Amino acid sequence: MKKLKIQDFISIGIYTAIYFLVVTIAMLILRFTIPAFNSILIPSATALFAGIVYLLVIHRIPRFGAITIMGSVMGLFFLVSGHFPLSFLPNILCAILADWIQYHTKLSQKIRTMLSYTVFSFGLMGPVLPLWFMKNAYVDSLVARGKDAIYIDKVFAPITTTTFYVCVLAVIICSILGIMIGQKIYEKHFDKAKGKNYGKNIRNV
Amino acid sequence: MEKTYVTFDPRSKLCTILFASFLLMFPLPFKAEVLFVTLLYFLFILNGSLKKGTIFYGLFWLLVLGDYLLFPHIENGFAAFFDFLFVGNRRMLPTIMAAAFAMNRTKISEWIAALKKCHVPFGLIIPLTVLFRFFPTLFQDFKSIRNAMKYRGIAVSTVELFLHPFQTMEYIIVPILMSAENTSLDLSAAALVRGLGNPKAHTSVYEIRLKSQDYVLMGILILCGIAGRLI
Repeated sequence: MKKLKIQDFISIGIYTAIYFLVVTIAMLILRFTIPAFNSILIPSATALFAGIVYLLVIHRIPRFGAITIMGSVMGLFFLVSGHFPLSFLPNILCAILADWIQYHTKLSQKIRTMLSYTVFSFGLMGPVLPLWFMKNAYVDSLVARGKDAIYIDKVFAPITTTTFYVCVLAVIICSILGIMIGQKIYEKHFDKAKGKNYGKNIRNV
Repeated sequence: MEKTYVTFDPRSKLCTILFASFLLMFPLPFKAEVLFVTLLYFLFILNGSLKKGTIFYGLFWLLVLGDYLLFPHIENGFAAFFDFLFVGNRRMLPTIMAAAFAMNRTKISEWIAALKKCHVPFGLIIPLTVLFRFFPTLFQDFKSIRNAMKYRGIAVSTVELFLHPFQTMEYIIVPILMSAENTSLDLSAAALVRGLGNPKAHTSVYEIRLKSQDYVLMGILILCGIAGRLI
């Protein structure tokens, strides 16, 4: 029972696709509501909505490795489709850490899920990195045309540090809220619907 | 009959993406950047997508032009903000362009075959395949759910979707998750019938081999990197 089976891999693929759909919807909503710097809010918006998907993954495939594979697949997909090519590293690292917290620590069930979900949500921090590169590019172009480098750096320093802190804080708050909402939805739709064992017998075919 | 164009191996396309990513991290001077974007434009033409390539190339020069026009008014905060956007997006463009080139006219099965050749673990390739294959179904489900929502009078117009994001999420995600169980059962049955559980090495219809144009492309990329450092 410990090892992942073919069925599990396929389920992980499907849940990852649904997670990706949530990311896409969050991205679209942000793009139409906040014009310029919407990319820094993508991780927190996704964390707010994707709690139920994450809960289902850990309930349906309760084995070490599922979350790692989910994060790695997200990273690979981002790499191939080129949304944020650099984001595959944070994705994989955060997923492994979340997996470890979920299955190898001795915290209570609720706190453990909350913590691992928060860590997992940080995997989407990739979209924040381009902002930093954008700033670097801008400073470079100013320096190349004869502006004072030290002065420019001083002016632009707060932009990235503040946005970074805002982003981290937003991710933490939103993922805690998101997992609470997810728990509510889970109890409402998946626990009552077909009993607690719903979906578990599928895996024993 | 469709015209034949120069095709590249998925692995050399991946190299192009990685090179663009590194360009983002270790910036090259403006001349080398223009050189790289022009190279990407040629790749698009070779690949037979003249229109797409021209759009990207035009966008690049528009961003340069915008920066050129705004630069004298940099003291104004408003202009500085837009200048920042122009320069930053110009720097982002090569990566997006490289990825678009990589996805252009490459079948998903070719990607899978290439990843297998790169010795990516089997446990990663299966979910990735499912992810790619599941998307059409997902969009179909999305449309049916949207129709059902409209029929029941929930969020009839698109604006209402944005006004009640939580309701939207619940009504869209939960049905998809419910049907996901069945889909995963169907898919695993289909996959097992087609021999996915076989522990031996799998064969592929697509022949993944590095051809002469791939070596030329990689050579040019390396040269571009070295030359860019020296300029």
